[in-house]
Amino acid sequence: MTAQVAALQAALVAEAAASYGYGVVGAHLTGSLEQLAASALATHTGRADRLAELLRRDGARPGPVPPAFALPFPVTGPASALELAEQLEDGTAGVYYDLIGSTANPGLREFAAEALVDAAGRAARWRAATGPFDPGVTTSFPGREAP
Amino acid sequence: MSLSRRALLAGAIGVAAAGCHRAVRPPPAPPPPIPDAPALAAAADRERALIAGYDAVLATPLAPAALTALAALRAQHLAHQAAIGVAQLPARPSSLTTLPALTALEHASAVAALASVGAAVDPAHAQLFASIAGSEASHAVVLAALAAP
Repeated sequence: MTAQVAALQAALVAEAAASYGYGVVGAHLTGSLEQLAASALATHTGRADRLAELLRRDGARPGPVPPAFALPFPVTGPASALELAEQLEDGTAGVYYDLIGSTANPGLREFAAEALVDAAGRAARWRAATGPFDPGVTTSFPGREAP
Repeated sequence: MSLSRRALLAGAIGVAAAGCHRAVRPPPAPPPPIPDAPALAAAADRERALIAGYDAVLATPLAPAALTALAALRAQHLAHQAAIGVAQLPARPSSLTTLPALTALEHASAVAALASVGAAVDPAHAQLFASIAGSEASHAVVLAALAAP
């Protein structure tokens, strides 16, 4: 397995986990935040489909994606739902950072970079939704470091 | 006297020959070019412009929460500059004075950084440009929230 295929596969699993996680997140939110979760769910599901397509184009078979994922902590209400949403975006930013480093293909890098930027922006939106500005709302290097 | 002149002449020729010898020695090999140097220089320039923009907006009257936020975001641009690896040149003056203008500059810088990802020779530079673009996109989110009534 090439580094590129391994990184694509890792991104596929992360996107599937994000889609699953947003199903849980959305169930605990209302109003504009619920809409943001629904939009994020659609984005991550679409990216998972695109990653599976990219793997097949590379001659690889997309690996099995679990139907369910263990959550890192119990989600019992809006606060923990927002925290999970932040973690989902941080996780996807990380796998796209790795994908960019694994390939010299400009088109694939651009796809991954756009996904990383999207995840970083959405993570900031989730953090901003939790209350007044905190310096940890943004990070210097999304994907490269834990916020 | 003439011997002495001859000796002097021989010495002079010797020195000249030595000089010639040094002159024909091949020069040391130039350092290898830094991959992606133009893209790194452009990224550094964008960071300088952003830092100058933050300085200009920070010089205007702001609510304490906005001051805290802008100082934190400015610090992240300093981190970008350090990662790009260029000398920290003095900030240049900026005509920006509003949060919406700064938001637009963050957007534009993120788009430009994103455009450098595909063509980067060094994969680490591609990752750096993408990560900086992500950071700047998230800054734009914060700035837009601060500017909202």
